[in-house]
Order: sequence, then C-alpha cells, then structure tokens
Amino acid sequence: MIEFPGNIGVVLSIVFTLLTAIYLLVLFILMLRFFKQTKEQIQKNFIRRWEERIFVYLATEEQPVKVLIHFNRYSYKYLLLFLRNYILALKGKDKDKLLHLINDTELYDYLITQLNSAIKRKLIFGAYFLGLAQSKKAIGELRKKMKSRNEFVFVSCAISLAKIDAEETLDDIFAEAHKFERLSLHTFQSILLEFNDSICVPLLKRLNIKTSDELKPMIISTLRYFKYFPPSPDTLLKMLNDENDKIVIELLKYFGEIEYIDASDKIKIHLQNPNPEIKVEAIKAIKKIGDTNLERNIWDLLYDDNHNVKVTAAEAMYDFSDQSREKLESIEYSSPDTLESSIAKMIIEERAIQFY
Amino acid sequence: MENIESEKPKIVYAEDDEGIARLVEFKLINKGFDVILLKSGNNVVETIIDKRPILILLDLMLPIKDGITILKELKMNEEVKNIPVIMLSVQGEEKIVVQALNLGAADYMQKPFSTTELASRIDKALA
Repeated sequence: MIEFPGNIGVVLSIVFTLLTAIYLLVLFILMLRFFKQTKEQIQKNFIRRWEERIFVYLATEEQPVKVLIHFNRYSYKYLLLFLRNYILALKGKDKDKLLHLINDTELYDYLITQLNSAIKRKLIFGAYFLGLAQSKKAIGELRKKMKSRNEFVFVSCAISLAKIDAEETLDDIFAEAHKFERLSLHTFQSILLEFNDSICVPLLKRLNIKTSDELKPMIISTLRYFKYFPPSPDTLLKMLNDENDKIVIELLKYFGEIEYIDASDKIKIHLQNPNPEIKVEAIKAIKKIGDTNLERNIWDLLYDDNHNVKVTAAEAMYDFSDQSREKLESIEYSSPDTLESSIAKMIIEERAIQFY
Repeated sequence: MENIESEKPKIVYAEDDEGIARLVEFKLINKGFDVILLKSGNNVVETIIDKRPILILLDLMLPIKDGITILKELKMNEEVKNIPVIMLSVQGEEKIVVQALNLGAADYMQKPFSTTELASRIDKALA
C-alpha cells in the first residue's frame, strides 16, 4: 500500500470529501429537476386530457356534477389549478359556470376537507380556492378558521372572506387582526381591498366608532382606492381638523381623489399648515379638485421655505389653467436668477418633455 | 403531396396566454372558423400577409412585439390594412386602447372577458 506523507493525505481526504459533496449536490439537483419535470408533465397530461371536456361544458348546458364524474379525486388539485387561470381570465356566463363547477360538486367538499386539514399548506390552498370560487356557503367554515393563531392562516381566510364579499365578517376581521402584533397595515389593507366597494359603508361607520388612530389612515386610504363618495361627508370633513397628521394627509388625498369641491374651504386652511407634507397634499388636492379660486394661495406657496412645497405649487400652477401656466412662465423673465424661477423652469421643461 | 388549405374563413389570434387562446380557438372552431394561433408578436404581420384572414384578434401585451406596433405595421400595409382587428387588453390600459382605436382597430375587448361577448363582437366586426 502506498503511504503518503502526512500533509498530502490530509489534502487528498479534503479533496475526496469535496468531490463527494459536489457529487451529492449534483445528484440532489438532478433529482429535484426530475421531480419538477415529472410534476409538470403530470399537469400537462392532465390539461391535455381534460381541457376539451371543460370547454364543452362551457359551451353547452351540461350539469357540473356530470362533468366531475370524469375526474377522480386525486386529480382535483390539478383540476382546480387548471380552472384558476380561466376563472381569473373570464367573466359573465363563462365564469359563473366555472364557479358552479366548484361550488355545486364534490370539489367543494374537497376544498372544505383541505381547509380543515392540519397541514397549513393544504388549509391555505382550501381557503384560497373557496375565496376564488366565491363560495358563500363556506363563510361559516372560513370564519371559524380565521380565528387561528397563525397569521398566514388568518390572512388567507380573511382574504377569502373578502373575495366572497362577506361584509358581515368585517368586525371579526378587525377583531382578529388585533391578535397579530406583526401584521402590517399594508397587509391589513390588502384584505380590505379584496372586498367589493360596498364595504365602504361599514368602513365609514368604523371611523365614527372606537377605531384606533393607527387604523384610521388605512381606512381612509381604502375609501380613496374605491373612490367612495359618501352620501354625507360631514364625518370626514370634520376629521380634517384632526390633530393626527397621518389622518389629515390621507383625508387630503381622499378629497382630491373624489374631487370634492365642498372640501375646498377646509383644505385651504391646510395650505398654511406648519407640516410641509400636509401643505404638499393640500396643494395636490386643490389641483385635483380644480378650485381656481385658490390659485392665488397656491401661487404664494411657490415662495414657501420648503423645497417640496415650492415644486408642488409650481406643478399645480402649470396644470391649473392657461392663465396660471402663463403666470408661471412669466416668472422666468420677471424674477430671473431666483430659486423660484429655476423651479418654474424645471417644471416647464419636464412637462414639455412629457408631452413631446 | 399538395398542401390543401382549409376553405373555412380564417382568424388569426395572437395571444400569449395559451389556456385562454385554446379556449377561444375552441369556441371559434365551433363557430365555423379556422383559427391560426400565435403565441408572440413574432411573425404576426408575415402570417397575416401570407394567410389573409378575415379577422385578427390581437392581444396588446405580446412578447417580442407588442400589439400596437403590430397594428401600426398592419395599417401601413396596403394588402392587409382593411382586415378588421379586435384588440384585447387588460384593465389599466385604457390609454393604449384609445391609441389602438385611433390607429384603426375595429373594436376592443377588455380582459377578463366572456367568450359569448367576444363571439358577438366578432360577428359585429364581420358584418
């Protein structure tokens, strides 16, 4: 037997270990690829075999139960994934038929079984598809599962309830959300945005009751997303006097979005707000509302101490009216070599490029 | 062997969502059309010049070449500029849709859509 000097033996054993590790890693990657390809092939075969059956179902008056006879329970997962693409891409009668195929067949029972699974992945799968299928009869089950201590499970169930448009569960969603200290406002809002715009009525009511100041800006932002125009905006108008700057900022964005001219007087006060962020949003709101009576006030803000306020005021002047644009253009000549003049020049040039 | 082309009226459909493309194809074949499916914007104009369809269904967001560019090229080509084009768009592309209509598209459909509505838009465009 050949004997190596000590150092060479160590080096060789390291090289051998490394080669073995690389070999095992390559083998592992190849196996992963094999499993992935096999899974994709199963899906492709499934799609090829059953696609036409679903298309015929969509084109005829065939009963959903009869369609499902041709699918075994093991293929339900793939069938649901296959249907998902069509549910998202279609509307009208086509979509209704696909929803019936889930809600009025064994697929529904399968999803409820998944929802009640102890395995989180399956539970989330069940919740997702019950939401996608807008299964009103699953509201009770989803509501129960939403009370989980697991944040992912809560969010999945809450989003599904929102997709089903289960307004009656809104209080539960707010109550349960409090349990999760790490739940971000962004995630919370993404749940609310899944509802239909009719959710704005109960959301507006929540602004009147014991809702924390932390949640109010998020609620107002949701109202803005839906462009909700309340029958009586008194509550929201009063809130423009709130001491919480985040609430005021969201309200300014909201009134600008719905172009609520009657809010102008209240917004005007915020053009003098000591917080430059509020001033900026107030200018933007006035511009969107298009209250030309406040043109002079906006012009004055071109001479504000804050740079962002100056720029926003110049942008508003450019967009307000032909006269205000001419006034902005004239500053280049009337007050050359000033900061205001260079901001005006910058805005005019930017807009010229945009509309080129 | 001589290549015998179908005598059915042809529709060229450029769509990168394969599932939806096959569903629409299925619907149109049942309505008596011959459908030529294209998965990207590549060779759409060439195929149209070669096949001379009676109608074109064109998705706005196609890989390689987008729907607007294809539409411009079609409208500049004397041989195919009169073939009606129905554009398919998703929500949020309203400005591009207006551009497409100004460029001479016959109609547009917004996704998600209903295949029944699409079929009736096709009938209208061919009337």
